[in-house]
Amino acid sequence: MTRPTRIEKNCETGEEIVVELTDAEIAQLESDRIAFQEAEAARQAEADALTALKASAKAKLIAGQPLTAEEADTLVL
Amino acid sequence: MPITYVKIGSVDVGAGGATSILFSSIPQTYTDLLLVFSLRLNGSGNVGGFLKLNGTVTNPRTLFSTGSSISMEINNLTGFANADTYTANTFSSGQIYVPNYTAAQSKPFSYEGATENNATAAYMGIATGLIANTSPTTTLELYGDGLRQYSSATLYGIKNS
Repeated sequence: MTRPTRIEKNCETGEEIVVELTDAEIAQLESDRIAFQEAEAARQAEADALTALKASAKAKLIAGQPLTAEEADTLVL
Repeated sequence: MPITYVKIGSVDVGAGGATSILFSSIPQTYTDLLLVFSLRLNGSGNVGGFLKLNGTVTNPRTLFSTGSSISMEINNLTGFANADTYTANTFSSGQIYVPNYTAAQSKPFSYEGATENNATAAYMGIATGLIANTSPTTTLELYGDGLRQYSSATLYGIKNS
């Protein structure tokens, strides 16, 4: 299996070469990718929860039902 | 570009793709740096883009918005790139500004950019951070979950006179 590569541009000479990543660089890349995915999953879950709260607040307002404190917090006053 | 912007180097990713683009031996004769890029990744869902300065991973404070929300995070994310599941032949666009890049102090930087996708999954973001590297900047590396062909990056040097 071919190793991941990096394109290196030497700004002094203009030379461009392709370099294989080291094991440490590959590990860092994987670590960054996983960290981002976890943060993204958490952000999406939070966004989905807020969307659900807003929908519930709207439905209750229309039906004339009392809102919970969390639902009320979604309202912009 | 204004005449005070000088192109230092440019990379276009070829058919084999690449994990990252690294600009090395950056001249120390300018005041600030501007990295302008257009990216598409191999990954299907990961749109994260990252920056290393002198080999140091950045940890910016990122404010970004999606099709349905806005949030602030502190993580290793610098910006966004098009995932491979995005509309065919589309790429993100963005830029990173590093002022006073030759100074012997930690380096502030800022990012702004957006992905392009004919769907609800699209991101735009503004990020700012401080890179804990007090050496003059000689390398900048842009990387993500595999850069696809036709991704590109151009580095400009900017003088204050």
